[in-house]
Amino acid sequence: MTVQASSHSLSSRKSLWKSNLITFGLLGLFLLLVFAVEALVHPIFNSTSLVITGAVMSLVPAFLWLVFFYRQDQLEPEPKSMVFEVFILGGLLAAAIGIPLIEDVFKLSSWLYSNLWIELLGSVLVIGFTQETLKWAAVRFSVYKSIEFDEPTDGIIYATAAGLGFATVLNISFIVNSGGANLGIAAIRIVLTALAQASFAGISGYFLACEKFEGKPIWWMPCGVALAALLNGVFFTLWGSLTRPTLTGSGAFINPWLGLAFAVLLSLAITVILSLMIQKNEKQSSPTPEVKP
Amino acid sequence: MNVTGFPLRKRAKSGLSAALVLCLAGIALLAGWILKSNILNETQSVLRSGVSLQVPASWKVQFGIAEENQVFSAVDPLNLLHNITAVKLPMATDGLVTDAVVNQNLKRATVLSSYQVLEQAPYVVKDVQGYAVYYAYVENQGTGNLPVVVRGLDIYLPFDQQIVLISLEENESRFGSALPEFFRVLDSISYTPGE
Repeated sequence: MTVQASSHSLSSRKSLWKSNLITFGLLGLFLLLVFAVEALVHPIFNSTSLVITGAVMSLVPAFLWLVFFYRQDQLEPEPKSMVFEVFILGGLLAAAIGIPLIEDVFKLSSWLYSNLWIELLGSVLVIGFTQETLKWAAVRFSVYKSIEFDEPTDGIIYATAAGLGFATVLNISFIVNSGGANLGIAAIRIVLTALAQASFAGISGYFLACEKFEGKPIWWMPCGVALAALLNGVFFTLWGSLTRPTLTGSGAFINPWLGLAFAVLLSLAITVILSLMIQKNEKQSSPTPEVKP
Repeated sequence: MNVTGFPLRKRAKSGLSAALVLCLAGIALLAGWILKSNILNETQSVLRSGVSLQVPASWKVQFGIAEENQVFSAVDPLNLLHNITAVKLPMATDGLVTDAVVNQNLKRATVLSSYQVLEQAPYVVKDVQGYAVYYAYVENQGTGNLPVVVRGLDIYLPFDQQIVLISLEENESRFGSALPEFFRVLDSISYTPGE
């Protein structure tokens, strides 16, 4: 890692980890709020207002993260416009390529659920690689060469923004295509998708940053995207298995909370691991301070 | 965006790495496409009452429960409107397939909402001279759901003093894309008299 990169110690970029943790907490509150509103107010929606409510709810995770990141990111601030541009780019790539490729070209729903192994393989090869390559591309072909991308955590920051943009469009698409959804279920899905997409993008972001600042070999970045795609595919297969309706004597039963718990654990694990790895990299590359006589 | 501070040598290496990522994604998607093609082309053999067909492996096959004389029905489990059925009908004494066509159309018109024959014409499958009828009706999927237009295609094939009727039904919006698969299923038909 270059001295330029290491000169900003991890402590100066606590903003990222802090905003991530605050966003985790606030997303929990958001879920509680939605369930409380549903239980206490019993809102009645027609299909149009349900779609609009769902679409607005889809923006909540990205909005929370961006607001808290901007507030926290004071010491070595990233240009707000660039973070926002990458967020928008992630969303545009999801809408223009990601969703049409997965739903219209590959028509996953017609063949993916043949059995668990097919589901796993198809999820990694098609969903994982499509989504992670597009999120990586949103960073790699925009801010990557900029002088603002000047330290390892920047990779994670911009990739998280791309991941949240991607997740926002996926969530809006889900809400619109399902003609609006039960508010509580929709809120869980929105939070889960945002956590997962941002976390997997964070992995690619870490690999991107290491590639830029540590001069890693050319196979490094493909490995990073492949790792993110693998985790993405495994996550969505397990999530599907955990939340698939089970038939009981009194009807079909779905437990969306299991999927959410899984997503929260995974996101926390990825956040902690990335934070430790960045910390380790920076310690290794910190120049030894000169001792003056 | 400002791109200073990114040396040429580093840029070339990074460009190569980016190209590798795109190649890897391309290979993964190609593998995904091969996987998809293999699964969609996988078939299961259904043999009942002398009628044998190769239907998609992922479809659920039911034997003779929905309709009198029904040999079997194969349904796409992810889209219950998409199904292929095989029915055995008695051959009229004059041996004309069109008699069975008329009877079936009359029967459908009494039980299906807004049943309408769109087109009908002679049709040949594996040198067997049969008859094809394109039709449509409105399916009311119960309270809370909007009615949908279902399109269908009947192929009547005379075998051994009986008529085997193979039908495809699918939502109107997806009917066109379901036809190639149906014709593949139809091409796999064989009939063994006496079974």
